[in-house]
Amino acid sequence: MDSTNAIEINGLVKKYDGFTLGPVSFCVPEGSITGFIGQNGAGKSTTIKSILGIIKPDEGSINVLGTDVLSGRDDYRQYMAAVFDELPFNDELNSTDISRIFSRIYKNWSNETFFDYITKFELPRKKKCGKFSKGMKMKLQIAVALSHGAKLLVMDEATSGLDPVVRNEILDIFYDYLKDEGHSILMSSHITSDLDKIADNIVFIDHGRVYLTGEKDKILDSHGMVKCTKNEYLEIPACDFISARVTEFGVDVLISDRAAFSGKHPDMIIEKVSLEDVMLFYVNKEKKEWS
Amino acid sequence: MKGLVYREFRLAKKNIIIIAFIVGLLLVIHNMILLSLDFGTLSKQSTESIIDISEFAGELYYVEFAVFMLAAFGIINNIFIDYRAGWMTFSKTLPGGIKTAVRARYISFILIGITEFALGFIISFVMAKMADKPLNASDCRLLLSVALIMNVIECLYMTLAYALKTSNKTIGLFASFLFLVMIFLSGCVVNEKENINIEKVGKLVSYVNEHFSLIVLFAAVITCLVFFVCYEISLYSAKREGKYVRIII
Repeated sequence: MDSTNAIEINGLVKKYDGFTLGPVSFCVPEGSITGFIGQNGAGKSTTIKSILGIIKPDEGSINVLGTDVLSGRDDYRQYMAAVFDELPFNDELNSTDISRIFSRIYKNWSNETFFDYITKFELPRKKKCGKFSKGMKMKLQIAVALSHGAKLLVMDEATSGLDPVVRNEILDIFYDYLKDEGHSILMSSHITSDLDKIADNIVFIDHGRVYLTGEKDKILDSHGMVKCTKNEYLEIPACDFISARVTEFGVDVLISDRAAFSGKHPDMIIEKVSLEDVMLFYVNKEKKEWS
Repeated sequence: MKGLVYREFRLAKKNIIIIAFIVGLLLVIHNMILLSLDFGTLSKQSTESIIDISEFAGELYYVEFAVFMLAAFGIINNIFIDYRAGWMTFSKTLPGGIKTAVRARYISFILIGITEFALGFIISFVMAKMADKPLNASDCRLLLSVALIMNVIECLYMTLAYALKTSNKTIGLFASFLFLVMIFLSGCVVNEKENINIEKVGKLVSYVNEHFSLIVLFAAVITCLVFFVCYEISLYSAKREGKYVRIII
């Protein structure tokens, strides 16, 4: 195992009725944010749950912070924090209760750090968390995650349902968190605009298989969008593009190797793509043509 | 573990306060009945009365005792709330995992059980003495029997909650029904004491009286076994994957 990876997954397989995840293999390098993207039902949550030890995979290995998750040891959990899309704490608890609970669970819990975040996020200490707004609940979860010396944050759709202002605040917090090179984040989301802003690496999963993994900037630099007419589209061999969106105005074609495509089709203009484009076009890769 | 036990107590606090309030109310009513009896205002009115309050009032502490034993329901109720909130899933990511979370709940249940039994017994002792019918060995046996029965049923109910993984309130109604059954059983036990027909159940009663210590030991062992089995089933259920099941009755 490469010691510079916060997470290493090799050949992960999990079978359910009607759906099989895997085999899935990817890494989350230490000191980075890895965005885990895919449409609903692609297998993101199943992968995340396997990493967190919530479910047991049928095959494969998972190493988190140097520990084999399947070995039964769980000392790594002192340095790992999970953040979900819904607040899992009981509605009756307030911030003070939560600090008392978690200070007795985590060895490295810091009340000072926790209440600094509570103050920074303007969360009331005595109000029951059941009465918080969705944004406040997410901030509370993040405050808990960042208050026990966690080296790894694993987030499963944590920013879904939040307004852009709150999402921006949370992304800023993650920037601060990553100033320490020993910290890493794995963030699953289908809000690709957030990952466009913040992610260093991307893993794209669809129908239980990883289609794309690598540095975000390299992926976006190597991929491109060609907007052409239907006649021009017919001149492009199928092996030169991922998929094409056909509309009444023309055809949008996603290519995976700008340099090679440019060499073959010098007259065609290649535009930049976003992660959302990449995801949309890869999802339709099997169809090849879609609208 | 400490954090999770603290959590259980913190969340059970509301339920415990409600139980304490109900017991307090019952004690007030109980005392009013006793005082009324002292002044002779609630003595047996006619031969048609079904309940002889003057004799019954001295044993009302059984009701308070039984209600006190419900304090542990706060722990059990949390299971439903935790499944709904996603805490069960989240607790699997904590140090110690789901095993620690389930163990903490059972430890809290036992601690509350011991506390509620002790407090219930003290209240029963005081109220019985005020009614000039101090607790005797037979009364203590019955209180212990009620405590064991209720704790075993609560423990089984807790296991059911884990197994069904439901947040459905119908289960709560089912629990209320169980509570009524427990009260009825306790009432039967009390009634049995008063209307015992030695000729019909004489041998069994004699045997129980002669070997009570052994029977208590046996009951305690059975209770511990039930707790252990329930714990293992609860742990297995909590580890098991799958969404919660909607129960519609």
